[in-house]
Amino acid sequence: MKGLIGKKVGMTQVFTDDGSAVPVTVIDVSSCEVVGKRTLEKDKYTALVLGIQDAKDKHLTKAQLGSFKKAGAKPKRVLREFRMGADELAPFNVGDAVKVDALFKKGELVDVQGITKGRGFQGVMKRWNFRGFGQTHGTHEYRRHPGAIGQRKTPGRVYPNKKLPGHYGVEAVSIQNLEVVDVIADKSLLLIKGGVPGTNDGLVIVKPSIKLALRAKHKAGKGKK
Amino acid sequence: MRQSAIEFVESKYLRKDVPDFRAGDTVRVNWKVKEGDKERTQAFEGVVIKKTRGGTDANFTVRKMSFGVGVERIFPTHSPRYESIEVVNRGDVRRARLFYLRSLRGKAARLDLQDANESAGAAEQQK
Repeated sequence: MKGLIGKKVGMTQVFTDDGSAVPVTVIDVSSCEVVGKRTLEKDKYTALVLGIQDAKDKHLTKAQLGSFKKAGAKPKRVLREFRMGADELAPFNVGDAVKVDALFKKGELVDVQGITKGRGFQGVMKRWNFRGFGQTHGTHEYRRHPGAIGQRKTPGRVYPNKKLPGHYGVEAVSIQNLEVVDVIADKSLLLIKGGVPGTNDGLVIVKPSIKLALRAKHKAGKGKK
Repeated sequence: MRQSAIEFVESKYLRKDVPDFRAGDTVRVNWKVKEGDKERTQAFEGVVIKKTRGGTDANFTVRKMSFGVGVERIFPTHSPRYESIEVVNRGDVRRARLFYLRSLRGKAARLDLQDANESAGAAEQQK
């Protein structure tokens, strides 16, 4: 499946052809390059390796530097693999910059993955959207509490994965089915409708919508019967 | 990097034909209205009581009296949905937000006009 790594630049608002204003996130793909390929002969699977953010030599180990040199690509700080078939892999050359307009078209639906902003230790209302308790009618020191967290002697323990206060944020989150509002090829910018996880300057991974692909597959399967 | 990329994106969507006007000016906004497959323009004329800045987010509020009822409309400054903005006349006001007009009626709600000669002289001085 095709995909790319980009940097979240920030949000703004643009006008569509019919004049309505849409909120967009700008994603910068300008430093995303093909760093390598995984081939069936050597690696027993096929994938495209993309890298982003130029790395100085001192930031990498000699082994890492060697691998970049051998592949003939510029050293990059962050690498990600995208699984794809050998035929899809063919048009990419190691060392080339990723062309946004070749990968995504205006109007396409995409999934965007990013690392969310860290929120520290949070209670259940913020972390799990619990309702809390009444603010009045004599509520005493129980306004934002989780309530009961289990039963009595049976089972005598709190179930695993019980939603409780704790650290919230800094986790990989995908937002599905976001529309590509515009592709600016000469600046390698991608405009995606709505917000995406993470801070400005954070890394995001953009892939084609998985739900759309599944739906198409499901439809194709029905047709055969 | 961040600002330049965002500004570049916004620059593609900014209108170049926005006239120079400010709070206190009376403007006529020729808004495009779609009725079925027909399109016509509908003018909204009134006093600009507020203007915000900020790239594509910029907007302005126009207030007029319609059959004795105050009507305010907010227009995005760079919206492709209006045909043109005409400045009818320039008001002489001392502040940027004219919310005080909401509590005034009739003759009290009028604004002084800017003296054309005076403002022309001021413009020349600025040059």
